This record gives sequence, C-alpha cells and structure tokens, in this order.
Amino acid sequence: MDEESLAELEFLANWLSKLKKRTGEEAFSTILNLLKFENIVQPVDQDWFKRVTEEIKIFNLFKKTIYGDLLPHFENLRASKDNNQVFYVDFIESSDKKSKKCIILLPKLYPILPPNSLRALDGSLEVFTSHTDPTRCLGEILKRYWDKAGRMGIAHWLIFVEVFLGLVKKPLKIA
Amino acid sequence: MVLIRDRKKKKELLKKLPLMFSRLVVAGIPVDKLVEKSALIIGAGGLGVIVAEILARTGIGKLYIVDRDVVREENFNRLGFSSEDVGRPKAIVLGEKLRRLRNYGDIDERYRLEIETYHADIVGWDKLEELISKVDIVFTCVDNVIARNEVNYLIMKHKKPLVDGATSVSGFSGTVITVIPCETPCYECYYGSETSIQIDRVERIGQCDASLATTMSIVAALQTDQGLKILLGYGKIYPLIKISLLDEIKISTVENLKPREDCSVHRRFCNG
Repeated sequence: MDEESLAELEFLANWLSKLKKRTGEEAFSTILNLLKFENIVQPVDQDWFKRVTEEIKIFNLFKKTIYGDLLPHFENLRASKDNNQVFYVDFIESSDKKSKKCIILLPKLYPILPPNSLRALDGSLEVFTSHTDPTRCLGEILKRYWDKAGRMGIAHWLIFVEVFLGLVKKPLKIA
Repeated sequence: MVLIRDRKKKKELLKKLPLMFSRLVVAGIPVDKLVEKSALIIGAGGLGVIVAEILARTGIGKLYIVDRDVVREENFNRLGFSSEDVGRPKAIVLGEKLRRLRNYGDIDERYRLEIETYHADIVGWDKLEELISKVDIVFTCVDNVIARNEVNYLIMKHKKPLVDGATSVSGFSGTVITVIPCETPCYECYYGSETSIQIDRVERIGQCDASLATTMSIVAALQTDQGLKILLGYGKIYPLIKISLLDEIKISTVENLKPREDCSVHRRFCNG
C-alpha cells in the first residue's frame, strides 16, 4: 500500500467510523478489509523483505488513521537486520510516556500463524499468543479473529495485545 | 539395531554395563547402542520431564533440553518439580536432577549422561536449527501450536524423526504424533488445513488448560516408547496414537496415514 492511497484510505476510514458497528467481529472485519496484506510471504521465503516493507507501511498507516487510537501504546515498528523472525517495537507507558523497547517473535509459518510473543527487553511486559499462564496469554480473543489466509499482520496482532493489556489492567467483573 | 535375544550376548553386556542398566539388558535393550544416541526435548513441563527421565534411565547418551518457563506453584500437580524449584528455569532444574540420577559415584565415563539445557523460547531462536540438525531424534512436549510448527518445519528440513505429545483441554485425553519426514504425515498435515486429517481437537490456543498427571504419564510413556523404537530400530511406529481416560480407558492406534498432498511443509521439503 503506497502513500497515495492514504488520502483515499482516510476518507474511507472516516466514513466507516460513522457507521455503528454492532459486534467486535464486524468492526474487526472492517479493519482487516481496510488494511489487509498483499504479500503472503513467510520469514523462510526469499522475498520476505517485501512483507517486511509492507508490515512497517501498514503499521505506520494504521497509526495515522482514526484506527490509530486502537494502538495507543505502540510506536516505531522495525525489523531486525539479523533475524527474519524478529521485529522490534516501542511500548509507550500511558503514565509517564517512557518508552520500552520490545521484541516481537514471529513463527516460521507467519503470517498463516500469528506472531508468537511480545516481550519488553527489561522483562516488565510479556504477552504470548499461546501460553498456559492466563496472565500472559492472548488465548481465545485472538484465535477467533486471526486470518488464517495470512492477510493480517503485526499491526493487527498488536490490537489484540492492546485489548488484552486493557483487560489485564482493568478486568471485567461478571456479576 | 534390534532387541538382544541371545542369552550369551545379554550376559556379556551385563558384565560390562553399570548395574542401573541390568534390567534393561534382561529386556533386550541394547543400552551400549543407546548411549551413542542423542535427543532434543523441547518443553520441560508435565510431558517433557517424564520423557527426559525415561530416556535418562534407559541409557540415552546425550540430551538437550529447552524450555521457556520457570517453575511455578501451579506446576506441582504434574511430575518433576517441587517447592524448592519455584522461580528457577524448568530446563535447568530438570538438567540438574538428571545429572544426579545418571552421573553418580564412579560410573564409567562412557555411561554418563551428557546434558545441555537452555532457558529459551524456541520461536526465532538461532540455536534451534543447529540442535535439530545434530540430534538423532526430537521430542516436542510443549503446550502450543506455534512451537510445534516451528519444530516441525526444521525436522522436515533436516529429515529428523519427531515424536510429539499433547494432552487435551479437559486433561483426560491426549495424542502422540510420530513424524518420519516424507513418510508419515507431519504436524502441519494434521493441523495446517481445514481439510486436514481429522483428529480429536487436543489443543486450543491460549487456554489455561487442565492437566492431569495420569494422562500426561501415559502420553509421555507412549511418546518415549515410539522414540526408543525409532532410535533402536525395533517394534512398530504409529503415526498417531489416541488416548482417552474419560469414562472408559481407550488407547487406539492409527496406521497407514499418508502425508497430506497440499501440505505446504511437505511441498517444500519432500520432492514428489
């Protein structure tokens, strides 16, 4: 997706925001359709660089649209130069605006499989797609929505992380 | 390499092996051959602890153990860990226990267990491929699909046998999947497609699943059985074994499964 599409995209995004979404699934499907990936390539493939470029473009584009509000804590996504399965992103604390460098690990079969985990390098934050410890595990929240065709990327996955972190900090009480 | 049937050979072996292996020789296990073999165990939880201990007690020569977690109180319902281990990496703790078990007293150097342990997440881990390329067999004893797929990809690339163990969300059932690259279905053949070979849903991403030491012990024992058969070349290998302990006890084996034709991992590594 190039910069020229941005104006069109933002127009569309603004228009869509006026529509009332009834369910999370409906809203998420809107986001997916708006920002779906074209390069379905894996870290083990030769043309992985195309996907890397698209990951960063879509993340930045996403932050610019009204949906950027869904990713308030994450900035500056970048790929590792040494390992195809590693990305970095900065996590910005809401309270003091301090930035923490985080590592995102991708499986070899990404994007058919979702990213594996996000960890702050100082160890203060750990979120896994799948883990037996429920305080660190995205779980069903992700499984239901992850696109098995590979059209979702890190930006989409980070939305799940944001939702998860929100729920961990402010758990819902079920009466 | 097969089981030792000849009495004379058994007697000769009994004379030279440490006493801890004597009953294995009586069963015909060629321990002197097993000490030349190596295995990689990924996951040192409820399954991995048992697989590792059985292999160590049976005489495997070298073990590599990898696990990303530390011991927590909620692990105590399974075998292997206790309160003094809390907060320490599972792989490291298990390694220490196995060293104490095998490398006791003045046991001959040849029969000591060589062991390397790693506290690491295998996804994107540079060392994983190196380890898989040099071992004789890989056991996956993990709790998630991503890790299994990561290992599956590399065992297919390096043509190494894999034995995977899994238990269900409910804790009462499980499966053992054995992969002989390009001969039997690989892990991706089972789980990588909506049209894949149907097996019981043994895992759901990201649930804090139940775990029962009873089911895990049986799954891990069958997992190790299949692994030993591959390493020593005796008995039958089943691509899929299903275990259920809910109500009736059922253990069923599935044979003659072929790799899925549209499996992306097979397409990449198995020509034709």
